[in-house]
Amino acid sequence: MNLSRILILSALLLGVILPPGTPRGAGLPAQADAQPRPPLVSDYHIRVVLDVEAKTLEAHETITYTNSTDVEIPDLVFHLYLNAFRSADSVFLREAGPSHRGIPWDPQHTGWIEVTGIRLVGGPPLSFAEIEDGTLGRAVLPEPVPPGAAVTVEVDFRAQLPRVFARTGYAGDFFMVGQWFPKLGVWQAGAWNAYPFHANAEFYADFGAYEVEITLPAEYVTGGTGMLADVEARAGGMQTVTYQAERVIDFAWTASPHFQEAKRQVNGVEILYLYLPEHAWTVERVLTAAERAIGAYGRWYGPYAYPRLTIVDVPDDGKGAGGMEYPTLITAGAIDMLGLGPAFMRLGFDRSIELVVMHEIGHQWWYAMVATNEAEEPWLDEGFTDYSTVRLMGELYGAQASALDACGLEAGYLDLRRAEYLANPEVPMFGRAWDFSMIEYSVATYSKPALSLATLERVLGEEKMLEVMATYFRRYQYRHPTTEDFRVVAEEVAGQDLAWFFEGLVYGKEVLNYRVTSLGAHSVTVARQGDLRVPTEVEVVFVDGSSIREPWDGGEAEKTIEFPNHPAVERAKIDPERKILVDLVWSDNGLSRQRDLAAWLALVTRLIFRLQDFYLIVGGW
Amino acid sequence: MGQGWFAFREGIRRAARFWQLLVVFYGVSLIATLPLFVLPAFYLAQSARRPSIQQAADGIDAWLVFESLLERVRQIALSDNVPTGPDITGGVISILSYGLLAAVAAPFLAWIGSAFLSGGVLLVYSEAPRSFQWRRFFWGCWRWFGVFLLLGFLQALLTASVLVFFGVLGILLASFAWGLVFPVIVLLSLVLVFGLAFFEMARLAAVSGNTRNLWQAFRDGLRFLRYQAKSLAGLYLLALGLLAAIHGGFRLWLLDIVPLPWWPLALASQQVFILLRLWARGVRLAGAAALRNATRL
Repeated sequence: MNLSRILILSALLLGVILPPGTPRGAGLPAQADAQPRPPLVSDYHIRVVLDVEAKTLEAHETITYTNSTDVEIPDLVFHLYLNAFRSADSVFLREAGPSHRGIPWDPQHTGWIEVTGIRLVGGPPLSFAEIEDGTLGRAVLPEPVPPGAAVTVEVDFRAQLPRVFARTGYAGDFFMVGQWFPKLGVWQAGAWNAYPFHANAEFYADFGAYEVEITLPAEYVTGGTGMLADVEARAGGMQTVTYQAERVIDFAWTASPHFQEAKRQVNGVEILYLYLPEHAWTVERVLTAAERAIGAYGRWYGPYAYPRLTIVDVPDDGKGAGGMEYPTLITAGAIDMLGLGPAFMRLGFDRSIELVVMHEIGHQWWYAMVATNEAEEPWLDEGFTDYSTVRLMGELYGAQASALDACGLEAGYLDLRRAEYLANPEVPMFGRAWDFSMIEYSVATYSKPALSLATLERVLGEEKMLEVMATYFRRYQYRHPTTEDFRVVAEEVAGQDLAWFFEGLVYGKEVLNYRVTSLGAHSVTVARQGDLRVPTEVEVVFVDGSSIREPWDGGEAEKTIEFPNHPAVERAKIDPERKILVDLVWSDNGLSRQRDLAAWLALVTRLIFRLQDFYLIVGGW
Repeated sequence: MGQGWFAFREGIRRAARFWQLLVVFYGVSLIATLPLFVLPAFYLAQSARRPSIQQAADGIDAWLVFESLLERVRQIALSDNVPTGPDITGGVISILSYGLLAAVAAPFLAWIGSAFLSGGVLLVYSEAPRSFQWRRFFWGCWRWFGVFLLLGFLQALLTASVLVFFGVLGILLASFAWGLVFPVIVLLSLVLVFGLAFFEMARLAAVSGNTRNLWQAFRDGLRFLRYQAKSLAGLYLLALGLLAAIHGGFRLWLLDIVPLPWWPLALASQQVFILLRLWARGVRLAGAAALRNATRL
């Protein structure tokens, strides 16, 4: 967010007020597009013991994998994500630099995972070897798994948690345990879809059922994916907590002796906030943001499918674990996204808390329930989630002040995303995570998709766009859709060719600036810079006060529109409702015949006053 | 406190009587800022055919700032080195650039201006009811210009140090207990007011005692502060309260009800606000001079 910080500080020189925000959500379309639930593929039963002093895990997992494809599967490929933090030679650390989100990797407190044994249940040990940089492992099966059949394996493993880094690890006696167990890849197109752990990439796995038994000291309060099913006291001051979750793609958990709980019920969903005492001031804001997010996303796309959502607060010295999504569990906390300092956040001027909570909850729809491949097509989950966040923040707090609202100094989240896009617009949204640089990745997966989807919404209309999104959600809930799947749904529901969106913005690097270049007595000349073409309209106002809107598909680089049977043209504006958020320059979208001297004088007046005011302040007057 | 009320009343009287000083204060504030807005105003005039200038007049939007800052990137992306037609982003860039220049230049200009004017202003207030004479005023400005330059520099240095110290303290305390920040803010305010009074009394002591010896001015100023502590506290409470009321009335009320597009009314109200602030400072200085005259230290 360094770019955002610089831009915010520049904007702080002057007061800012922004145009109105997006319209409110219209609700779900009447006709549901219900799909039968696909079968579960990978079921995990894990027993793990946490050594809170050594920060290690000792575990045994039983995995039942069902071959839901129509080809034989000869082996099993597992993700061993923690090995990315084992040494600086890993793909992750070579690409990251080695730091992640500004937090350095600590070579004195590394992380790793080791499979100490793997065998078929009731069968012989399997041959297992780490592959690539050790973040993948392959077990060769004695016989391939036929289509429709299942195989059950037992895996013994141990792991060292790192000092919090890249979303997982410990900070003192706080533990956020993510990507911690050998997890199967996804068999697709005749092979395992499983890549070494790249710095930009996130995760991809099949839906399954999880039962996880965690043994740790009794004074620790835990949280995990799914529901807490059992708590059993053990000898020696220990306890075993059991979590169960159905139809999820991952399991993460957390533990701290300092957690306190706050709860709220929303539409039959229990929101559980595990917070640290020093962040007690965040409780109301987090629960309210979560309540609003679950309500809005449920209305727009489809209901949240699980009985509980757990929100985990992270300590100030463990911020690297914050701002992450897992099925039915997110990490948040007092994370200062805008970089303005904790005071601004605490006073409510900086809405980073709400932003993070709403974004991570958005992932429950776009990641947890619609499980796209985060490594190969990261824009599908991050972009959809960020678009949802922009939408919701604008609806709740107004587009002009959704991110920052400090005594007249305002900035919207959409504006921050647009600023990021403007700084690097020639990036396609589609692409593998590791094919982008760090800056390109943020544009490709967050800001450009948010702007593009918001533009699509404005072009199609809010109701139609919500229908597209809700249809896509229902059709691909508990499935692994791709960009082309979304395209099929979008064009089917919209009833039109959306090549400008997919070829121009998703797959392409095309950019666009529409501008009104000149006014004739009875004509208007408009121009398109860049190769992206988005259908729009030109509003022309004549000297007698009448007006007309002419559609334009942006096909020509320059076009002169004649109005021989109208009075003289007074002013013209292309994209008058500012639907095209990916237009690189809005300030040249309009042109008047006369100079607006009143506005100029008002601006100069303001400028004189600001300078005098500042002069007197620094002069002690 | 009784003497404080007397000083405040006398300060109002003297500040109103010597209106020429207010004109000088105001003129200097305009002259110091004039060069910084002329060029941006010129750039903006050229792009006043773009309707987005209206949005800028209502309050410059964040999107316009971002577009302006990223203009060069946009040109590269569009393979366009020469924008066609009038362009408002150039005007916004010039505003931002001159704003940054003002941030650097304004403290320097304020220091020079304040150091020059203070001697003449305090001389006029101290010699009241003697009538205002321009020659005498400029003589006073020049006589104490050098020593007040040094005094102003020391005041700025000390004020900055205090702000940094309390800022760090506030941040450290906030990490332990948020509630401790508020006593820190109160303490900071008291320290700043004391610092302001100390340096203003030092200037007054220099002029009243007709000395350009900085240490003697500090000594006499401190002595005056010590022996007239209650009266000065009363004067500063009333004078700073007046200043706070002026700020509050403008920023919290008038600024909201006068729409910026009504530029003549906005200009008039803004300039009246500037004048009132300058007058409030005059009230404080004149009141202190009257108190010093009355107590004959």
